Amino acid sequence: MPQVKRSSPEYYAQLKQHFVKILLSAAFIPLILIGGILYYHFSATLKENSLRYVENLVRDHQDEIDGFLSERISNLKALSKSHTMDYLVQGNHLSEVFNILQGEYGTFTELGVIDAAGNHVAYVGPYKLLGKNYKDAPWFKEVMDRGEYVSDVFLGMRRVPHIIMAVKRVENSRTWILRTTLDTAKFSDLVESIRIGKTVDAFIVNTEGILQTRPRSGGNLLEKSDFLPGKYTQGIRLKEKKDELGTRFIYAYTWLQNRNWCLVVKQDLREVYAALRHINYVIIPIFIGGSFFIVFAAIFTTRQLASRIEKTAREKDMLNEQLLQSGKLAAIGELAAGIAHEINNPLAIIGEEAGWMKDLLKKEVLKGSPKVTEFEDSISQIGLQARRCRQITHNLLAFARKLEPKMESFGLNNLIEDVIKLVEREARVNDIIITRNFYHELPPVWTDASQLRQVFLNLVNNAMDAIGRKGEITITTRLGLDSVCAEVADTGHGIAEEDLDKIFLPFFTTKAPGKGTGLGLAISYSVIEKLGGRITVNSAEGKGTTFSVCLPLGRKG
Amino acid sequence: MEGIRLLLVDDEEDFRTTLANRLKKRKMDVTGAGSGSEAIELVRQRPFDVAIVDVKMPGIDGIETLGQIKQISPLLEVIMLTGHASVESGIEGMKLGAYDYLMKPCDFDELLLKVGDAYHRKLVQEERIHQAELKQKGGKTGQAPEER
Repeated sequence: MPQVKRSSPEYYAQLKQHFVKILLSAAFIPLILIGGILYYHFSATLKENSLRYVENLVRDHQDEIDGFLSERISNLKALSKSHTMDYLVQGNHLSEVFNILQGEYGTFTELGVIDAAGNHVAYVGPYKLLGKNYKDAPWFKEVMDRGEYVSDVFLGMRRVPHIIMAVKRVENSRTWILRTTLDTAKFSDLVESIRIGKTVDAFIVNTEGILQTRPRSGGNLLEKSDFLPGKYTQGIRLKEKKDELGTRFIYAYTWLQNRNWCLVVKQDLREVYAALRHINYVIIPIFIGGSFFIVFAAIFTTRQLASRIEKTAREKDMLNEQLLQSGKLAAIGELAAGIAHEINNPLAIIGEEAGWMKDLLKKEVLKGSPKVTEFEDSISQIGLQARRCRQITHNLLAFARKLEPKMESFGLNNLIEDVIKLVEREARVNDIIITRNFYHELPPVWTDASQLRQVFLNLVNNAMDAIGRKGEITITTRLGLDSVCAEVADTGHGIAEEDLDKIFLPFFTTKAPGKGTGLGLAISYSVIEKLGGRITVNSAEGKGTTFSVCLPLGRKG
Repeated sequence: MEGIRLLLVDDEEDFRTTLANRLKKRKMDVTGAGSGSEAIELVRQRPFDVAIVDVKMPGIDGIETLGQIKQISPLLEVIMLTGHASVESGIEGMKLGAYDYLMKPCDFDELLLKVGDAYHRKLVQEERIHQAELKQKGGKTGQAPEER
């Protein structure tokens, strides 16, 4: 802003821009900060809660599924322990046992007894598996090694998904295996019951990522899932992943007891953030509306402020103009009076000389000379013209006299009050306090009110310029012995000592070029002088300046 | 008009001599003085009837000269010549005892008129003082027998 003059339209445009920028940043920075922080915390909490939720789901269902599987194994074990192979192989015994088992739980499809050589020696179920040899089947080797076995879901020879469950029984010297298959549909139901919310999905995958249950979100049993659990780990793990469509999901997963299967609960993050979206629907319009309001208010108030400042500045400029004008007029008057006065003396001499010549012509000696009348005419003409000139100078002097003080009786306090009223608003804008320290029993002074007003206006304006922003102007009136005095004290930057004796000189100014005429104090000085008073100054650089004006009491004319 | 003892005080010599010549031609006894102090000195030395004093002079100005002349010779009538813009100095002079004032450059006839008036007033004053003195003298002689 420094290069632009205070009165130019660019200055006000820049001022406005500046104001708007400050107002907007003051309004928006905290707003955005608070909004951002709240939004961040809210979404973090929301996500956290959602994670805890799926984690809990996984934990609960892990127990349930583990329980389900281990219960089935236990049933099978108990069965193998409570019956001998011979008993089961005979007649309808196996079928009876299967019915009991089935009647209680209903999740088994078949039951079979296999001897140590891998031969299916007894079988109850819908398939014709009796006599089949399992010697080379992987599950057979496994169960012979480890004593029990739960398979992954697989199709096998029957082309229907199923789970094999088998336990080994060592009966005296004989080893045999009790084998059953589980109904995968019923198992799937158990897992799928984990369905809370629209997008919560639960399924089981094995170490290779093959689906062991049917996920609700698509994909079939025994297909490869897009979720690979990795290696076995203990506890519940969380993972965030995008699918091929770019939708983000949270996965909570844990390994089941058999260490082959991993229970996975998956939730669409969009659902997690649904609450946030709902809030956004409310907040964003409010934010946008609020922003418009703030911008509108900032621009509106700035405009008003700027126009007010502009008006004040214009008024001040006008006042300065008037002051300068009256100063010029006074100078012209002074000049005119000076010239008139200087010309008067030679004019007087010319007049007297012409008169003297006229006197001389009346002498006897010259009478009768033929040229006498011509001389007389010529001399009269000189006298006439001298008188004409005299008229002109007298008019000039009369004009100069008009500029001389018009005296009237006036209260100094009222007069100063008028001046304060003129500048008070501008003072308030610049944070300047004007303190009146009036002596209220002041007698009226015989003075020229309008000129004196200009003097005080000059002094107060100077004081405000000296202060710039934030300060105090104290105006004191007091009664002297034969005078009334007023002091204008400011807390401004003061006057340098070397300038102190120059301040009343015309055209001396310390203000920036174009800002001060350097005539204010000079005019004030001559006005006070003319009014028979005194104006003095007292200043300490950096502390402030005090101007005192004293005017004589009593009528003078 | 004849024989008026006139003191002409003005710092402009040309003006002074010419005006003196014109006044002398009208049978006045004119003495010129170029400054206030010279005028005061002259008034101390010998009597004058009327003085014409320019207000604006270097050194002792017209107003002060007026005051001092009036102190030395109270009956001497003074006419102020103001070359000055304002009538104030003329008025001030009249307050201090001047008979009248004229604005410079003045009309010669007007000046003559005012000189005549001033002289007349001086004569009247002198006459009244003379009468008063006579009364006082008479009073004193009248009172004398009672004392006896």
